[in-house]
Parts: sequence; C-alpha cells; structure tokens
Amino acid sequence: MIATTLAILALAAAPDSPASPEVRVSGVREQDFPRIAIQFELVRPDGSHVRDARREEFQVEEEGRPVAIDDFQAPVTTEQIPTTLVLVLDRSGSMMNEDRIGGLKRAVSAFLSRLPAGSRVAVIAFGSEVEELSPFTTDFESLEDQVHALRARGATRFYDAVDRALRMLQDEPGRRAVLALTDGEDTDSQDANLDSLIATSRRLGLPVYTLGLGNERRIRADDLRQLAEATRARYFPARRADELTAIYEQIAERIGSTYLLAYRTDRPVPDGTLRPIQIAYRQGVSAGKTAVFIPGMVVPVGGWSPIFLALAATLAALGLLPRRRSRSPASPSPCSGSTPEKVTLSG
Amino acid sequence: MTYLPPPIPSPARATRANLRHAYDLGLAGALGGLFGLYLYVEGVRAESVYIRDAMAGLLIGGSLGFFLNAYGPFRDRAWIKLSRSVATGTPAAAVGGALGLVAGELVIGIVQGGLIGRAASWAVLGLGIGLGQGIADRSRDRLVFGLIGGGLGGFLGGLVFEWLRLTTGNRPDLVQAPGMVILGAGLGTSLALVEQALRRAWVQIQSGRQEGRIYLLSPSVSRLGLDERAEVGIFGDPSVARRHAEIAATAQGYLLRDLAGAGTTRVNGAVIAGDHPLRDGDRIELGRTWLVFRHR
Repeated sequence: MIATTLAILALAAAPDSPASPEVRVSGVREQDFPRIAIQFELVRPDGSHVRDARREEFQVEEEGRPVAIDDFQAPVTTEQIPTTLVLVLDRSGSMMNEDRIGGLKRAVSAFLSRLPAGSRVAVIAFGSEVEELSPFTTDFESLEDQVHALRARGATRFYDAVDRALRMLQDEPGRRAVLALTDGEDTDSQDANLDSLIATSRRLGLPVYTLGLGNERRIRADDLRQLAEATRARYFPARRADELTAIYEQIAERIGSTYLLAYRTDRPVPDGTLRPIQIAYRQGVSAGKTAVFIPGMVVPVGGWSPIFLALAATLAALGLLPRRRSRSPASPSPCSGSTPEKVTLSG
Repeated sequence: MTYLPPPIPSPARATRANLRHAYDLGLAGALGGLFGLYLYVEGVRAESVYIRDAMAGLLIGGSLGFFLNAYGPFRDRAWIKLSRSVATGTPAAAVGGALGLVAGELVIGIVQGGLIGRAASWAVLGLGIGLGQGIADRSRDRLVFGLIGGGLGGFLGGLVFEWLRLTTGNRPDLVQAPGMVILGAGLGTSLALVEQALRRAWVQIQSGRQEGRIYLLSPSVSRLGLDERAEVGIFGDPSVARRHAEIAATAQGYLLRDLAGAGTTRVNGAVIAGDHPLRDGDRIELGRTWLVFRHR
C-alpha cells in the first residue's frame, strides 16, 4: 500500500529535473489579510521530503510580482512547528465489522505519538449524530481515552462531520488539516454535501485528507478522492483496518514535513479577486502554484472624491438637459393646445 | 367659452415620454448608486468582511431606494407623497441591498472572482435591491420588474467594473464608481423599460406640468385627483378636485367613475356621469388636465 503511494508520488514528480525538489502547496490562508499564509511541502523526485530548506532559498510571487517573505517556518528548525488537526472518525454501525473500530483506535494512538510536539488535536466522531468528542487539546492521553471509549453504532453522516471539522479550524492559526475517515457511503448528512464541503475547504484553504476503509465501491472512493484532491490533500484507501496504522503514520510524517510561509501583500485592499501565487525553490523550474481568493465584491477603497464630484455633476447636468430642450422655442409648449385636431368621437 | 376637445395623442409623443421616463429613472438610479458607494467607502470602517458587506448593502441599497422612489413625486413636486414614498422605499431597498450584498459575496467566493464572478455577484446585489423595492411597493408586477431590472443592471455594472479594473491595471479606486453608476442606471432604466414592456393598464398625463407622467393602474381601484394619497396624483391644476374620479378594474374591464360631478369629467370630449367603460386610447379630461387611458 505504502509502496504504491510512494510510486504515485514519484511519478507525479517525474517531469521535473531530477535534482530539483518540487514545491507542493497544501493550503492557503487569507483570514489575516493583508497577510497571506501558505503551507507547502518540498518533495524530492524520489518522494522523500526536504525538511531543512531555508527562507532565502524561496522566491514568492503574487500575480507575477515578487513579494517579501514575512514569516517562514521549516519543518526542521530549532523548535518544532505545532500543528492543529481535526480527526474525523467513523463510529457508524458498520465499523463493528472485522473489528474496524479496534484497528482505527490503534491507528489513532500511533498517529498521535508521531505528531510534532505541541500539536493540537480535536476529535469529531460521527454516526447518526455528529459529536465533538474532544475540543482542541495537547493532552493526547485523555484524547486516546476518549477514542478508546467509542462504540460503533448508527448511520453515516460523513459530510456533516467534515463540515463541522472545517468550522472548528477556520479561526485557528498555523499549520492545519482535517483527517477524515469513513467506511461507508454518506447516508444521512443534512447540512453539507460534497460540493459544499469542497467550496468551504477551498475558501478556508484547508486540506482534507480522506481515508476510505473497506470495499472501494461501497465507500464511494471517487467522492473521497475528489474531496481530497480539490483541497490539495490526498485520498488513502485501506482495504483492511490493520493497514490504517501505516497510513496514519504516513500522514503524520507528511504533516510533519510541512513548511509555513507568510507574506504581506502589496495589494492590501480586499477587492474580490483571485490572486495567483507562485513559490519557487532555488530557481527550480517546478515552482509551486496556488491561488488565493480575497473577498470584497464591492471594494472598500476611498480617495476618489474628485471622481465622485465629477460624476455627480455630470449626472445632474444630464438630468437638466431634457428640461432645457423642452423650454427651447424649437419645440412647442405642450400647454398651449393651439392646434386642436379634429375629434372623432368613438362609441 | 367654446369647448375645444383635446388633440389625439401622437404615438411619437408617447414614445418620447417612455424614453424620458427610462432616462430619468436611469439617472436617478445612477445618482443613487454613486451616493451610496461614496457613503460606504468614506464612512464605513469594519474588519469583518460580512459586517462591511452588510453596511455597504444598506448604504448602496438605501441610497438607490431613496433616489428611485423620490424621482416620481419629485417630478410632480408632490412633497408629502415624496416623503411617504421615500420612507417606505428607502429602508426596504436598504435591507434588500444588505441581503443582496452578503449573498453576492458568497457568490463571488464560489466563482472565485473574475468577470463572471463579479458580474454575478453584482447581479445578486441588484436582485436584492429590486426585491426590496418590489416588497415596499406591495405589487407583484413591481417585484418582477425590480428583480429583472436589478439583476440585469447589476450584471452589466459588475461586468463593466471588472473589465475596467483589469484594463486599468487594478485601480478599483478609479473605476468602481463608474461601475456602480452603471448598476444604478441599469437598475433604474431596466425598471422603467421592463415596466413599460409588461404593464397592462395605465394612464399618461398629456398636459400641464406633469406632461408625460405615467401612472400604472392598480388591480383594484385607483383614485385620481389632487389628493396626495391618490394613486394617480394630478397636481398643478386648480380645476381638478381632491377626489375627482376613480378607475376600477372589474371583470368587464376598466370603469371610469366620476366623483367630482359638475360635468368636469369627460371621455373623448363627452361629459360622463356615473360609471363609464374605458377602452384603450380613450382620452380622459379632468378639469383642464387630460390623460390617455391605455390598456393591453
């Protein structure tokens, strides 16, 4: 399973020159606009991660114009970068089959032990209800206790649960991700669907890693893949529950390889535009590309009083124009009634 | 004094009046959009996108509602009517504008900007303002006119703004005001044109200072007279009574009912008393003012 995944990663990186690692953007955050934060990974052609690149090795451009890097955190520095995650866990009735829930609990334990120190994790469990099992915490022991106490029952409200996770993360700073696991098709979501989730997570710049457990047809693997890829994350299929530990470890490793870079845009007006961003590493050809949408359909930009006055004067003049014309002697006054025409009475 | 019956109205005069109506309402909308936008950019400071949007919508919608509702009574110089019309129209359009702008922000976010994104989001703003107008007028026809006009005007205004923004190298400070003027003008003009295209029954004043003024007839009873509360307000003619006549919509068609007596209500030159069935093109005289009844 991991071998396949690595092979796919290697293939994806193949077109670039063998020496240059590829910048892969996994999230953009504009909530602190005019500061824009980007999280990305640096992947070598063989699929391994570069973790010690330095700030001065990157060039960032917004819409083709270079911008100055304001903040930079590499995975390997003197201090580890804490990460904020929401685990979305399936506790529907079908998770009792083949002790899937047991495999999931073991995988979560292994995952938590591999996260960078200081990471904050919250857990949402879903069946017929979407339940916040734990708010954001750094106390992984109590988190494990909560997860171990889970009992499988109920239907599958996968999309609602992921939607809740996105909303929990929307105001969190730093490196962020959702890890969402399900073993069946969404049956019961009331508020969210695939399209709304993709829109929300793209708007918030949040990657949603999806894990499908069991038969690929039953879990609607295409939808899970679409959700993950649309949010710059990845979809991981697992046939059996005992593969989960390896997958969760791989995700932990990937999250632990994420860079965080922020810049202050030189277009600080929220103007409702999609701004392409490019991150190049060491003049490499394989620059990471992304884009961030800055809301602002009506742009709050002032300083055009002369234009306001000119337009208002023009409009007022246009308003007076027909009145002047009707007063000019060329057109006869309508009130005079000087030329009554012959009237034919009808009826 | 010999009685001179009114001349048969020429089609050219009706067309001219229609164009003038659309032109004036377009200008009123343009001024409304311009003032609203200016108030917003100079007056509102808020961090949150949606609070900012709601404020922008209130100001732009309110200003548009004010100008569009004030135009008719202003032209008639009917000040009480103006204040009443503005008092309901302004808040309704303001609320519609706030809802429309917040919803438009969601739309432009989903489309992720661009020409279509901007145009679609501004169309939603226009729809919101048109909706507010329609609800304030408590008329389903006006609601439909408002939605079509607002949607079209907003779409066009947003399209032009975004196009200008791209061609001027991203200077929203220079080009947003013209965009908003187009939104307002589009809303006003479309309201007028759609109203002209869809209206079923109306009267048009043919003489005096209100010449050209068109009143849509209500689906029940429209009062005609000097009264400020009259649906068809006729001002500036001392020979018109406060409640001079009324036009009732019935299953058999429209009926003109004389209320003034004294033989001062005529149809096609003939004095009427009591109910008189109206036909398209009939010329109605109230005192010295005359109007044309149109029905289709």
